[in-house]
Amino acid sequence: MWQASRRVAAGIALAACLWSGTGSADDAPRTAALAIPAETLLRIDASRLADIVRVPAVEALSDFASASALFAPLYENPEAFTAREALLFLERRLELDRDELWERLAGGRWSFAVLPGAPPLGLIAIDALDPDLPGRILQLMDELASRSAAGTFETSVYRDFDCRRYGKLALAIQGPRILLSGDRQILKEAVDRLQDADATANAPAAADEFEVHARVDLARLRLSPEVQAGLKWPPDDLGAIAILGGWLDLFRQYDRIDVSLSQPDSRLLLDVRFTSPAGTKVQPGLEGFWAPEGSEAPPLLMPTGVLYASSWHRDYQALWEARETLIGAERAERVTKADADAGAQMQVVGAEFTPSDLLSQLGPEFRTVILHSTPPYADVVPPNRLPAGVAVVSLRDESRVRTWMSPVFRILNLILNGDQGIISTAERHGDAELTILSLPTKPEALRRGSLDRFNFRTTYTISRGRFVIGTTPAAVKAVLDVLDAEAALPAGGLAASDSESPLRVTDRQSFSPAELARALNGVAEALGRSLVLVAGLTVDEAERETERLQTLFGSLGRIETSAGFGPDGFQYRVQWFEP
Amino acid sequence: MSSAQQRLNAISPRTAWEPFTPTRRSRWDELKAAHLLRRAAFGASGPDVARAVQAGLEETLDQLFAPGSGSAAFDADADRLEEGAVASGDARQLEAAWMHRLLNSPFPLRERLTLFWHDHFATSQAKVDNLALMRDQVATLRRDALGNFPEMLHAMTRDPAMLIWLDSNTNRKGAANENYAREVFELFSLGLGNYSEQDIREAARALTGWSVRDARAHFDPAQHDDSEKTVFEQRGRFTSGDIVRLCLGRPACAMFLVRKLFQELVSDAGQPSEELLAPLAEGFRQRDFDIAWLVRRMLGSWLFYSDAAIQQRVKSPVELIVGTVKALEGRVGPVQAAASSAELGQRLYFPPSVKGWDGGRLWLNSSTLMRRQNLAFEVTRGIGESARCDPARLVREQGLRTADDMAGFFLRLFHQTADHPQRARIVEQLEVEAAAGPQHPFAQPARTARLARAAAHLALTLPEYQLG
Repeated sequence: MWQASRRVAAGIALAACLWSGTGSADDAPRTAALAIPAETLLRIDASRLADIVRVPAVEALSDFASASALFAPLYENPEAFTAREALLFLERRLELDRDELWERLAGGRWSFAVLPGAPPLGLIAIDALDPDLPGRILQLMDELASRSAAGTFETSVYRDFDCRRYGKLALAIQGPRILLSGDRQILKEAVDRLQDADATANAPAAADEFEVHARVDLARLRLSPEVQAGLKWPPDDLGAIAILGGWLDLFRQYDRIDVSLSQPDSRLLLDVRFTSPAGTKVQPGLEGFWAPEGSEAPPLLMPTGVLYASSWHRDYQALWEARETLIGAERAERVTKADADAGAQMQVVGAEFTPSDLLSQLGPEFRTVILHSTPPYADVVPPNRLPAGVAVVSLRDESRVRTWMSPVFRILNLILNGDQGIISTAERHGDAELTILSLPTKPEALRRGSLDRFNFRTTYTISRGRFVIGTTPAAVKAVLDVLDAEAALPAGGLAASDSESPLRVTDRQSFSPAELARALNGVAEALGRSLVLVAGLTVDEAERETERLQTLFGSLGRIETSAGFGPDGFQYRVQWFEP
Repeated sequence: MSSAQQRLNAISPRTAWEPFTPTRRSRWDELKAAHLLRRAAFGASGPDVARAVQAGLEETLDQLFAPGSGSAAFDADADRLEEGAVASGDARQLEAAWMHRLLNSPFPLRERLTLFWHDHFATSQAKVDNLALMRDQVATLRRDALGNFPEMLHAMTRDPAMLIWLDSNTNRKGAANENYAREVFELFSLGLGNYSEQDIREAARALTGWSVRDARAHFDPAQHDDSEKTVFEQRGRFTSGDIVRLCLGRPACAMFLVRKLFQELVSDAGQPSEELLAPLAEGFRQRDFDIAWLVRRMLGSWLFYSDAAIQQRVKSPVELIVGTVKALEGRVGPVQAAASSAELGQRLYFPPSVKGWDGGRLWLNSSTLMRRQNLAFEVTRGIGESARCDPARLVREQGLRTADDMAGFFLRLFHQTADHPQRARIVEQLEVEAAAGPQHPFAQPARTARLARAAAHLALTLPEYQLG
């Protein structure tokens, strides 16, 4: 069993949690969630939904949206007034302000389900925090329905539930419990389930903190012809295999997706897990796409000033060798022939390899990083300072790749110099030889195109068993220094897997909105100009909007993701750390 | 003879240019105030028109001819936007930066005239291929837009963008290129028939020696033909400055310029006689070609407020777009506005030829007319790029509820009359619109908004809205 937080387990295992009520079985509270049937295509359970507005990131986004000049037209749009009119009406008649209304309605528990059928139908079950509120809202809905053009609605009582039908909406209320559906029969069955449920057993405990859990029944979804067509293997788009193949494969292999969103501490935690019932045989995942046993994605590169970093494991050699399985025999044959033809053509430039040869040498470790960098040209300062990017690809045989690529780089440099006037120079950084491609900086060249292109001075090297390429020499050097520091660490001293579960991490990412806020300083001119010329803001509004964006990003903390296989399936985790 | 020509012919040259003074029969009212603001400032909102009526003609003219409050700060910001646009290397950014001025400048008359001079000294980025030079040329035109024409003409003979555009760059001693000389005479100062081919040949020699180096005009004496030339029967070792002086000394020059400004500001529906324009031309010449004097004389005259001038011009794409946005008291993204203007045939910085835009009725063809109608729909949708230009906001501010009220409001706003012959038909269509859609109590604001947008749209699609 993998370890999951207590709250996650309580939310997901609806049938497994112990009832924690007091009193006799007949007096036991029946949570509206019991109205949801066991078989659903999708089910979402949320506790303390009202608390979502207190999540710091949500609060920051909401503050930004309400003050933003960009979003102001949305609030002022009369269509938005419709929702506001409804809300004002409710507030006035219920004598509750907005926050209180939201807390009483959404502070309890909500469940939403999509039930199998043709077409699939929805069911919502709500436990309001205030037991009287649903009844009061029902009275107001009756009043509004009487005043509407239709003027009529159906009313009945069924098994102690007060029932209504307003057009296509069917509604049933009892105390704090609200059931809604677009189908009367679904609603009737939901009431029966709720009233007949054994309240002494297996009622999910109400969580006292904000949580959302969802489950998608993939096995049931795969019965649909449309879904089967979408998950056809091999897919029609070959590119999808290399980029998405492993992800598509998850939807084919696993029977369930469980998603949970919670705030266990100072993090906002989103977990997406692909699982199957215990004992079900599942393939280990598309071979070559994910890190195999004993391997992991490399640690993230984190030199100073990183906005974004990612690392992943992808074995293109294995993917190439399994091409017949991946894309079918006929396509595999075409691709093999195309590869051979391309290899023959590349010999003209002195390249003694085919594309598949090169592809097989690349990886399986891939890393990228976006970071602040110093201006790459001494004599041209671009009006906007863009961050630099660096990519690092491990090589199976560095010397072979260097031999292969030398003539290719020579020809490329010649072409770039002849066509674009790009100048190639060499520079050493420790024992690494860097090739630096510089743009021409003569006045005639400057007046064509954007000056922002002088943020780029492409630099690459084959060194330390890797191909490293970046947009500025300084960024590449910073990454090489990090690689050296990494190499100097004792074995096993690199970043460990997520400590909360024994994952074989195959993808990692880290994003720092705070660093992005810093980066906005560098592009303030372009951003301000866009806000004025594209969005139509005034110059003053544009300046304030830029400041607001910086404040927003500065308050958003850090986001990290990890994906990989555990004993029970595949997990994708997003962690949003408060600043 | 067209009715427009008949009206023009009926105007007495003795009184045409006398200052308009309101009488009981011819009041200073919304119709005239809106007409002035359309011609001088591309258009105006309802409150702007009301203020102009309240202030009277003279005070309104004073305000139009003076930089508005915040002009210096606005110009500084606009200059920075243009600088960034030039650095981006993207012509559309520069077009948008100018559109930003056209939409928002506190000195709209100056922008109006800048656009006119850009058409007059038509120079296209398509050939110049240098955003900085194009920006600088328009900046020069803006500086002199309401100033002194001789200074402007001198500046244009040495403007780097103009030198490239009219091949002055290759106008050398012993190999004169007549392009620029011809256009100076024909299009910039005298008009057809007021010079000879010999004058052109001789003037071309006088204009030799100029080229563009490092984005600056450069005079190379070695490339200049400094021998004697005969232009307009006058002999001398003329240079470019002399050619300008000689042009300005021709009686045809003042008349040519007055006629062009007449078509731009007064009417392009008929041909004014020389007799009609003579008083203006004489005054213009006597005042050393003072543009502000000429423009003010035109905009303050009896003729300007007669039926020979009101609604006697087809709105250019820029006038149509900017005027509509101003009337709706809205804001749109200048990038989109500039793109729309280009689609309608007026792409800023890209006049189609050295003659500029043909203008007048030629703004309208089956394609552009349809596009103008579509634009009316797009700008009144109230969502997306038109979200800040929503007619529903005006209706809400006015507290209007019924279809009839809304129809009357927008007819008055766009046509200065609520008693338009099409009002009943518009109301009928709006009532059909009102009956459709959700009818629940909370839908009222959305319903009202839909009606407001439909009312504005219908008012904008009336044919006379294409006339300014």
